[in-house]
Amino acid sequence: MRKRVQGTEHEYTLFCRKMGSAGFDPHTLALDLVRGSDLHLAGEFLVNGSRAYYDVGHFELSTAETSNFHDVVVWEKAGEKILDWLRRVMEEKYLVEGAKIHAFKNNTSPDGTSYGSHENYCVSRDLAFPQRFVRELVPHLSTRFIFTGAGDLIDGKYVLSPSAYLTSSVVSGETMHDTGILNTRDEPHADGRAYRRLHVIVGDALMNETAIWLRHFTTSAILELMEANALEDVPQLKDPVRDMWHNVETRNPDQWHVELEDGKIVSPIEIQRYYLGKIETIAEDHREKRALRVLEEVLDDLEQKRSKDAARRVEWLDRYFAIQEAMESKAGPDVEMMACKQYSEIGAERSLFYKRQRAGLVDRVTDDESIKRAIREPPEDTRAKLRREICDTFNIEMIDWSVIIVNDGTRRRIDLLDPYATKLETSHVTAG
Amino acid sequence: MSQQVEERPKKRKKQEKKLEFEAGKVFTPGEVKEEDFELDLESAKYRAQKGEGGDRRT
Repeated sequence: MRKRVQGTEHEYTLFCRKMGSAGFDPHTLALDLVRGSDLHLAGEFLVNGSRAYYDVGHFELSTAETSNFHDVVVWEKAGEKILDWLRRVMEEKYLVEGAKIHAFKNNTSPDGTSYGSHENYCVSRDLAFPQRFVRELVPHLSTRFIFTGAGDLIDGKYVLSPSAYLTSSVVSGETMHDTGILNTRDEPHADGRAYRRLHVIVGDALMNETAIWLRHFTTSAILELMEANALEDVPQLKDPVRDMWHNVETRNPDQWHVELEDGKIVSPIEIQRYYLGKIETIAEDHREKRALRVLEEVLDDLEQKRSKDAARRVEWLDRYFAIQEAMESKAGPDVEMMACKQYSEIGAERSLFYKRQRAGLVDRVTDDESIKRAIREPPEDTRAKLRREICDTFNIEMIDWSVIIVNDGTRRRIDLLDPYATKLETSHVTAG
Repeated sequence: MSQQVEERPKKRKKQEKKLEFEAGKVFTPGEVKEEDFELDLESAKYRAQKGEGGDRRT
């Protein structure tokens, strides 16, 4: 598979019962702390190429530009660990002993209020938008939740994917209300003549490394197949939103169904098997072939209802089991919701997910040493490396994803319009 | 063709002491005592601000 610049962004929720409306906001405090730390690079950027900022009441972290489905997992987990460190620093410095700050990597609070976790993929501007994406990508985005769903409790129900459950239409430009399977936001953060930044908002905040890995493996592979015009026979769905709403409320794979335009009823597993067969033609290296094998095993496990095996890689299943176990060990009206949310805490000492990872119940695709390196260093093969080098060399007056203004007496503007570039091109260096 | 920016004035070094990232604070699974792990009802009661997430319109 070719390199494809991609990344994720998460709105993390921080909560401390001791911090009322009159107290300080842990989201802004965490930002102040990280900007005064040795992880800060310049402006809103951190030394590992990620961007940390405050956005509508949340601490938001966007990963650096990564070039493949594996690196995005490593840098996403690095961001999670950076925030967990900030959480612990705040607990030690600002709270009385025993008081806690909770940090959640999920998409809804117990009252159902939603917040986002988005994916970004750099795609060719030559692909007709939205037509080609509706025809060739929407069948994937509306069925992939069977292995990319995080699981959640919303409206008193267990749903396989909160973001899919809360989606309203096929195509939309909105990100807070009336959201679509395909989002039309067009902010390339690059040369807009060559690139589109596909903004995917129908995905969930995930704890499980393998689930993140498979989500980016499949989605980036499908974008490559689209650019190669290799998906012209993709099954066309009659009403993807209606079927997605039905399927995300259904845990039994036998009851999942998708209606095709010709009236035929198939399973979302069949739709994913179509893509699997296509991806097989472009999976080349060891890691891609391994991901392909894992995907096939996951689809087989779901189809055969080997739920304990599937739960090692499928978060909605593992979260469901974690909730059931909690309800067996503790009584009370709030236990179900408590376990559902505590699963997504990023602190290892109170996260149900990390408790289960320590117990060997979920599969990993990376390791702590790789994540530690990704906390300090940007990816080697994208613009994030170049941005870091410029910031290490010059005093920075302004910085964003695709432009830097350095303060060397002339206010030199450096455009970073190629997200794959690791060296400066002459044409991108202009006087400001 | 690549080209480095010509001038490289020395970057001003900030003198203030920075908060230093401590990997040991977040990469110590051995220190988590499973017997002390508790289900915490605060997790069922937190509130969050609406962010960039959907809200289904039927």
